[in-house]
Amino acid sequence: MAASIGKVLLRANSVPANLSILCREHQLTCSVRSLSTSQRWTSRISPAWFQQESVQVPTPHPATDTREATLNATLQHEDYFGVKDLATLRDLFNARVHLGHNSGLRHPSMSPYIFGARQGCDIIDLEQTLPLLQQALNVTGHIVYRGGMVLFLSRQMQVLPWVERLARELGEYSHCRPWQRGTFTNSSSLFGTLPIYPELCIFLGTQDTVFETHRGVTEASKLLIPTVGIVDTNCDVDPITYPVPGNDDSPVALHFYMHLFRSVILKAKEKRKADGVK
Amino acid sequence: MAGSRRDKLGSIFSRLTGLLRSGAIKEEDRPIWYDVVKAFPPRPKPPPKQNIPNILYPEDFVRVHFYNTYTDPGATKLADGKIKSVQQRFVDQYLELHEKKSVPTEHLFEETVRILKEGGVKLITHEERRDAQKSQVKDREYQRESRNKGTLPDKLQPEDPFTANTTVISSRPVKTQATESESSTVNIDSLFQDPR
Repeated sequence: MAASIGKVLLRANSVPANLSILCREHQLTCSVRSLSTSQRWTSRISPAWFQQESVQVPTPHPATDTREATLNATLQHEDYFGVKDLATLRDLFNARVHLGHNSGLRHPSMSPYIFGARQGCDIIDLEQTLPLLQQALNVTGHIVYRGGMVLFLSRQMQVLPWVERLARELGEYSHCRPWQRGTFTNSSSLFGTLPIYPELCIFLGTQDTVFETHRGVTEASKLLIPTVGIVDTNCDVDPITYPVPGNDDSPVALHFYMHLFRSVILKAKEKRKADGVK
Repeated sequence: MAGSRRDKLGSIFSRLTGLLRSGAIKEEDRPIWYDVVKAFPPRPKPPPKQNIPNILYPEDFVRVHFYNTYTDPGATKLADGKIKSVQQRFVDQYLELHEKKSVPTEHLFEETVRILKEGGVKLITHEERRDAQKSQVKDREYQRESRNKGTLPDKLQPEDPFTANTTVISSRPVKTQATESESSTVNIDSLFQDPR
């Protein structure tokens, strides 16, 4: 297993950056950047294994202890990326995050996050949304800070170009096209290579169609990948690791979430550079 | 990655912890997110709500009263935040009077209507609208009938002594050219035929 990963890493190092390794038509792209980070990460864990594979030894980096210490120190910080300054309750309200679906479409698991029903339309409790959103952003920041790969998922045609552009700008990945069964769980036979999985899946909408949950939610859960998801009042909260109750249909709201994720990811990368975490 | 591919049992954190404890995954091979999720565990889900209340405001009742009495005063520009709709002005005026407590509660509605009418707002009750529509429908039906027949009924002929001096009141504008030809009596024929 480890040896084959090493081969994939080697192959990845020899191809130009931003080349899609998994499969272009499935829009699940991997770039060398993340591969090389994971390589470095692995190399620090088991340097002997890399020497066996006759990989050229990467440039010397700070000792594992100091790296671990830096990473643990950042975890002690309550709000290392300043996510609490990013959004206020008023911003959420202005972005129409509180507007839910028709009460008849309510998912039973969403009931604790609903404030009330206004003329047959559910209103989401923003006072619960705000801390959940901040926590989700904080976790996103920390995972990116440690060199994790982020995958944005959405099935809304209207925002598809925005999400893909956002992912490209950030150097991360997106999957906004129809989800082929087994994209995560059966990827080695689908793409013909050993897959590199994202460290975090961000669902800008957890519904695939109006009737069913995105298959990616289940598959991420099966493969132990944490998920951050915007859950509307008609969505299932339970399979999402970090649910953020909020409107997932209005373009204003989606733009707002994307703005938040963009700022926190950029900030995390900046801090990663400044702190010299490799 | 080692794992059972179960997706509903426990959480991803508890499952990975189990794998680490059993030795299926070594401590140094743990994924990046493990420490982060350990440090910031997801908040526990609050207990489900049995009854979700309906959201109502005091002004809702004022609005209901307004719409039950008066017809919709027309479209409102939602993009323009400066101009208040008639309904909004009504509600604001009502609540202002209610706070002042200068007017007894049972007369609050009439007082608000009076103030708005003084301010130049036209309010049409449902009865007025219905009557106006009825008279319009009647006019239209009458015109259609007479057009189908081509000629007017005998009793409305101008030679008839009974109708010779009557004037016709119609909600539709009457063509002035036709009325000018005979000032004292109305030539009804001219109203329904094309002027030559």
